[in-house]
Amino acid sequence: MGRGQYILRRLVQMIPVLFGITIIVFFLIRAIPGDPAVAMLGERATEPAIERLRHSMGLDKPIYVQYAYFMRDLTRLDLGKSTRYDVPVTEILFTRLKVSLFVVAYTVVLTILISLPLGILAALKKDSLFDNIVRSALMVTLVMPSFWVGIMFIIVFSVKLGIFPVSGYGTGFLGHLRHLFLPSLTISLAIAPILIRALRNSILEVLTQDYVKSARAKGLAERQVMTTHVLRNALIPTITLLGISIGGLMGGTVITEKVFGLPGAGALLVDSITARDYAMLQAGTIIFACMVILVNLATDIIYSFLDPRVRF
Amino acid sequence: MNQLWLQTLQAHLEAGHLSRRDFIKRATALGLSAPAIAAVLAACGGDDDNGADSTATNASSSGAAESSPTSGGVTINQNVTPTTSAGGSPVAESSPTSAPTGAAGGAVTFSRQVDSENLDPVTQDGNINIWIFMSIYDQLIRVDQQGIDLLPGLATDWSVSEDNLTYTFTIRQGVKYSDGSDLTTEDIKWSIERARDTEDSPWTFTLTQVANVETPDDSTVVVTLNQPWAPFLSDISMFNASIVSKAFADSVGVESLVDQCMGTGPFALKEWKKAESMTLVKNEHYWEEGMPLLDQLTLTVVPDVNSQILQLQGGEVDGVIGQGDVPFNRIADLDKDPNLQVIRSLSTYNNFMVLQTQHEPLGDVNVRQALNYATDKKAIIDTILFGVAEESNSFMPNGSLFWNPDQEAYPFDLDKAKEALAKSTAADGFDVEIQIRSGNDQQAAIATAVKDMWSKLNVNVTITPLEATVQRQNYRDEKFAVQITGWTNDIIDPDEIVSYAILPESTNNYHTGWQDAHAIELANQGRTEHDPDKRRQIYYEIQQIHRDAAPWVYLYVVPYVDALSSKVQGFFHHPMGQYDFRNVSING
Repeated sequence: MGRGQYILRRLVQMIPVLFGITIIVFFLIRAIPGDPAVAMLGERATEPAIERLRHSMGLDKPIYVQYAYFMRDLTRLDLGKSTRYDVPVTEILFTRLKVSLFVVAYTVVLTILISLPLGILAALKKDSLFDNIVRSALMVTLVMPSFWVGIMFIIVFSVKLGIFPVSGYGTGFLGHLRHLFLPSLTISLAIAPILIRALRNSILEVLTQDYVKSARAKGLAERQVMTTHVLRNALIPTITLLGISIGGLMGGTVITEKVFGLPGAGALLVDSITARDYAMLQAGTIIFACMVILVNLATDIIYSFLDPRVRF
Repeated sequence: MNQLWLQTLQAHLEAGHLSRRDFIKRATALGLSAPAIAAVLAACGGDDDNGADSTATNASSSGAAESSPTSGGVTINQNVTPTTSAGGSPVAESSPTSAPTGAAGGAVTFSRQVDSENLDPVTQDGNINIWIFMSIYDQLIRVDQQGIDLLPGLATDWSVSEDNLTYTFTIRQGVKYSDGSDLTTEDIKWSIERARDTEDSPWTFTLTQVANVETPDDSTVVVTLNQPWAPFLSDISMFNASIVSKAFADSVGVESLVDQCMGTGPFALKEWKKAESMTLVKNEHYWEEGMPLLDQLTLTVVPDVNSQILQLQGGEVDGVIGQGDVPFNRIADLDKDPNLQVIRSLSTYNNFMVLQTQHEPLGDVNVRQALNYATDKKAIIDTILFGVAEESNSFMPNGSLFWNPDQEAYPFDLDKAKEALAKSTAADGFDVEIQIRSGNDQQAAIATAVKDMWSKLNVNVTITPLEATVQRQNYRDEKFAVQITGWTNDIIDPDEIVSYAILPESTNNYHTGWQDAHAIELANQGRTEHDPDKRRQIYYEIQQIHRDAAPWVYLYVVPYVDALSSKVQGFFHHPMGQYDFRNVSING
């Protein structure tokens, strides 16, 4: 089976997964007590007002009918209207997603920039002072909670030194780069230690393999041994880890978003739970689910480039 | 002791809410030093104890020609036509600080933790909306900056018929909406009728007495009531009676008023990125000379309080404003920062616990009194609120119209508490649940303190944190024993809070289920009685009944706290809650 066919098959496999997700999301949200009409109209709302809103939201219908309507709209790619803000959910969600995705992409770039050199150098200079410093520093950044790191960054780099903005996401690409540096770095610091350790260990393991010995024996330059033989093989477990981390990042940037006051999608979804904004929650969860599946797919595809032995 | 507290008391004194004697009494009770008290008294002027009441009140009033001072109380005579012609324009009198002092132009950004949801004055429910759209819409009458008097708004003048049934308003001429169109009397008629008739509005009760609104000419609006209604002028100053452009509502559809606005107020809504930011711009056609000063005002939404404060310190925003957005434990810190100013404003923000009386043994008045006696309000204020609050003695907020400052608060007295409990049906103690809002640290701290205090009575408290919507739903469904909640006045007249706390129609008396036939009768009398002295007696009596029946555990009244950059000038947080941005300016 070719790569194209494989991708197609994986995409088709998404459909039952997504279907399962719609069921879980739809019924789980409705299992939380608390009427969305009351959440929206406030505690002083009159009964007739609540009745009318429930009717207009379709909440007075049996739950399976509501689900049928939801699925019908979904097949038309209509994700519904936010009950809280009274606009189509996509209008708010997509602007928010842009911010979140920028942070995720930025984080990935920073994480790679940090992890690759440190991981390789730590492995090559195994047990040296450098290796020890990297490893112990990693333990520290790993255990520091992101919200704390974020606040410390803001205090030091934004409030005291004024190098970076306190919050917001700026305008234009360069503005985004500047504004989102601290938030992305904060998240990177939580992921990078795991990647560096994994990379260091797998490089050390690969270095003991016979094919590395024979590569050296046939007189290849050390640089070439490292790039074509060692790194290429050592990167596979690291990429798996990175793929999983990105999947987690999709909805998991919420704490960082809150600390840096970013109008991201994670924070929006959390607030939507309190407001019982069903449509927003459903749409957000489904979109996040799609993205996680796609990232996993992308990870699998990258394997095939790194390791020709990977067959579909 | 606490400087903040002294300043708050000083504000009460200056506003005439407190007599000098009461000021000294309270300040001493709070442990403020004698030199500090003397300094404030000297700064506030005045020469004797009794005189301070009326002079302080009159100094701030213009709408009411007569005042009848009583001890510590505030006075108003709502039936007196304002004497606005004499002594300058009513606008200048409307606010002691109203002569714009700062430089015109510029833009400021304030942050709030939560975004508004609905800017339609009629259908919305919540301060997060009201406090903002009051800068977009005007009403016929406005409340003065002390929160105790009524001043001309879109009406320059008004008169009341002998039978107290017909109110004739003279409408200000030349007023324009922010789109440049003219204010018409037809808009006023339409707005008031919509506020009265919209079924989805939680606020129609304030205007049910309005029988008829007529517009005999371009400058007159005549409102006829179906029965004499003492709070009427207060009610017409309330946010739901905001005047909206009918032509605009017709063009966009009434349901779009939720997020589109067209008013005659100082600011106009320019852009609203929901859950993110709201941008208000100067209404170029605003009728008050030289106001507003700012060209633009942006309100961003930052859900995390630490980020809010960091943004303020980093100069990214010019202020953190809101109801409880600035946590009390940060005030002292922020006060020390030379680049910041913490503004505490006189409020009517009363905090209390509601006891659901159908929930045994809370149906027993002795039990409820015992819980009140066993609650050490001062300890809560000192330890949890960092001293930035005042004990509450009534269901009416301290300093509000017809609040009885002399009513005895439940003292913290364990012997009395035990005595009351011994007389009750639950003499051996009982188990009770306090429902709090999860994530609300202040409620959690109060509940924990109360759990400890009540345990002395062998009352075993379980604290249940609930997600906000669930808590609210339980409250509406009366599925709770004890919840911690609060209140802010929207009008100066006590009728609004009385409607909620005494008359069962709107919320079954704060969902306590408690009712008292005599109090209900008095509350209805208070609505039709026009003599201020008689009304005061009526409301004093109602307060006594409520206190003795104890359906609430009274806690405290807190000032509004806003933290601003020291570059911002002229910010005013009105006692009715709304922000007054008209004089806000920015330096540098």
